[in-house]
Amino acid sequence: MSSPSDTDSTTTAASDRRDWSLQSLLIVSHSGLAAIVVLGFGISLFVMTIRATYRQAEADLLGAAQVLLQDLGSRNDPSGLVISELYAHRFGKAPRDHAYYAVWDASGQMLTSSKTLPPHAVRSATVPPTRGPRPFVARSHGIYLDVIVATPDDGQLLIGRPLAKEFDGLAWTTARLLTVGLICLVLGGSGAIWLARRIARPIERMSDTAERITSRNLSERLEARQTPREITRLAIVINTMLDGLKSAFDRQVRFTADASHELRTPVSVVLSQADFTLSRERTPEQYREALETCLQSARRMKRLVDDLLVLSRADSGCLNLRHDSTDLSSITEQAVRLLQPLADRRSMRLQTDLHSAPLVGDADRLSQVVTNLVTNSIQYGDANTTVWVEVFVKSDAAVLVVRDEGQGIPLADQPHLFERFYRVDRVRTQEEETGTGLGLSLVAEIVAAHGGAIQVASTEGMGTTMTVQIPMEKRRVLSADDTRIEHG
Amino acid sequence: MRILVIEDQADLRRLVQGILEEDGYAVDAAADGADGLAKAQAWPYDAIVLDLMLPKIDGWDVLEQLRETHKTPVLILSARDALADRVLGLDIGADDYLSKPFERPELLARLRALIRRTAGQAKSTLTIKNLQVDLIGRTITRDEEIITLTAREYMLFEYLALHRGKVISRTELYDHLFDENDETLSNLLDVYISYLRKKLGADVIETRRGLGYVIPE
Repeated sequence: MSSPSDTDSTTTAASDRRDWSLQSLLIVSHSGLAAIVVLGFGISLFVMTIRATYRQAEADLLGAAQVLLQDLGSRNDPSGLVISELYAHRFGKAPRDHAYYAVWDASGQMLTSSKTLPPHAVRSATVPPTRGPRPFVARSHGIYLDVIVATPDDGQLLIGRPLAKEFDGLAWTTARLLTVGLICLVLGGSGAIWLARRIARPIERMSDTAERITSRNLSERLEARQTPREITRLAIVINTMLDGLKSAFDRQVRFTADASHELRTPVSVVLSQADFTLSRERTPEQYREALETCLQSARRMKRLVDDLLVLSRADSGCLNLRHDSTDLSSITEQAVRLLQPLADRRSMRLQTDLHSAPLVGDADRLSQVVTNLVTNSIQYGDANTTVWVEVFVKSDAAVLVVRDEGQGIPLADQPHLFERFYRVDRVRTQEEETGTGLGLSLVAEIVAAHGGAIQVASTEGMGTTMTVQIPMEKRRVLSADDTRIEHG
Repeated sequence: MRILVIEDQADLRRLVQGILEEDGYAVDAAADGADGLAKAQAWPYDAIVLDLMLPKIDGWDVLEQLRETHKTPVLILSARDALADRVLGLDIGADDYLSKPFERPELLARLRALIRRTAGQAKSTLTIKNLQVDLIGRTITRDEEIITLTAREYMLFEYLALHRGKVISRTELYDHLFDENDETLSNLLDVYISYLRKKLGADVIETRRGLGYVIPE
């Protein structure tokens, strides 16, 4: 037995899981996915924009530096150097956008600089490269970007500017990205809610319908035309399952009704006979007759109850067959010998032709098969006819054949022969020995539980041949459960 | 009163027959639908006890075919007790429905009621001249004094009393009082009538020569 805490934790876990409805799961997962996509897209766009901005600023500064270098080479006095108008314009006219520059000679002596020069604008410790894809040194400091190139006389020229204008642009871009991202999130979220409802609603409707379906009301069906298609399929599958359940249930209800109906007659006899006999003083002879009638009815009830018990065991898959090593011919011989008096009473002959047919199975139940089949043949047969009983082996199966010269079974009745309480015509049997109507169903169940099969060949007016085949190998003796599939 | 029992179960058939005979009825029995229908059409029964699950012709068909020509009261006595069966049985033309297992007093009471109603008599007591007839207790009283009758005498009197004012022929009386196996000679009727007159009073039953007997209203 598990500890109470164990059970508690499992129930909590289960209820936690149950709290997440399909709808909220869909909404959360969809919104989360949308958020991740928007965020990733926004961040990469932002990074790319920054890099492009820096590249562009570097290229512009490099261009301006080349112009300054040319300017520097063409004049002797480095002072009075001015950033070309074109670039100054490009960098922005506002004072905060103003670029600055400085020139150092090979020894590191500053030759000239712009009027304003931020303190971080010092010469590069490394010599700027003169060739390659990036023939300069780029340095950023806060919002400032400096580009340092080598001068022809091994000095350095620094040109830099604040990227205030670009950062303003970036801020705008960021704001726009955020706005678009939020709109996307809201749209994605509502889309997710809509989709989740669309999926969850038919499921909820199905649950509502399914709730109304009980053991007493199996006729209700789920609506089959629904979107999405998967739900339609599910509904169809469930409906098919319900159909199967209903027919099984109907069969069970009919079986119960038939069983109670069959029990009513003997109960009536016992009840009324006793009441009638006791209603006044009777002779001993009359009492004896009354008791005999009651006894007969009680026996009939016992037979019926016994048969019902076996059938219900077979239904629940626990027929509990014994696995004896036995021989069908000896079982048949004994059973037929017991039936000889019945055949004599009806002036019928019993002919046997028995060959040894060893098999593994339940001798009592197999004897019941023989008894039921032969009794049927005797009861439905005419006087002065013969019932043949044969046992032999044919291709690894023990075969029992019961053949009679009776009236035969009408074609219309043959498919129902093994149905419970099915009787071809009650008048044909001698009324005193009326069977329970379960004999052949029992035969079928027992044969099926032995992994065997039963065949009926009957021509009206000519007689009936019942052939039972039971596999002889041990491994073929299956549980009643396995054989039901084979049988049905 | 003569009743037909159609029942395929031998035990039950004998039993119902015994119960009814002991209650004073003349009883015929049939073991299957065909025999039952033939008898029901051949004789003027006062009531028929009909089982439904019958060989040859089932109970519903027997009832349907019988109703084409006969108004004989029918009580269905069946193990089928589903609502649908009872409704169908009554709708086809049964007058009453009793399901098995049944209680003897109820079967008898229902049959008495059926026979009484068919004769147009709703009450279970009759007054004829100074005689009080109790149809349930089957007793006849005159001035607080019970007159003892044999079962057959009572049945004869009851039949005439239920049809009082109507002249009943000797054949009719004979058909209603003796079952098919009874070999009683018809002139025994005169003997019973004379017994009745002796016990009840000479003027209760009148003879209409060549026609039959009558209890005047």
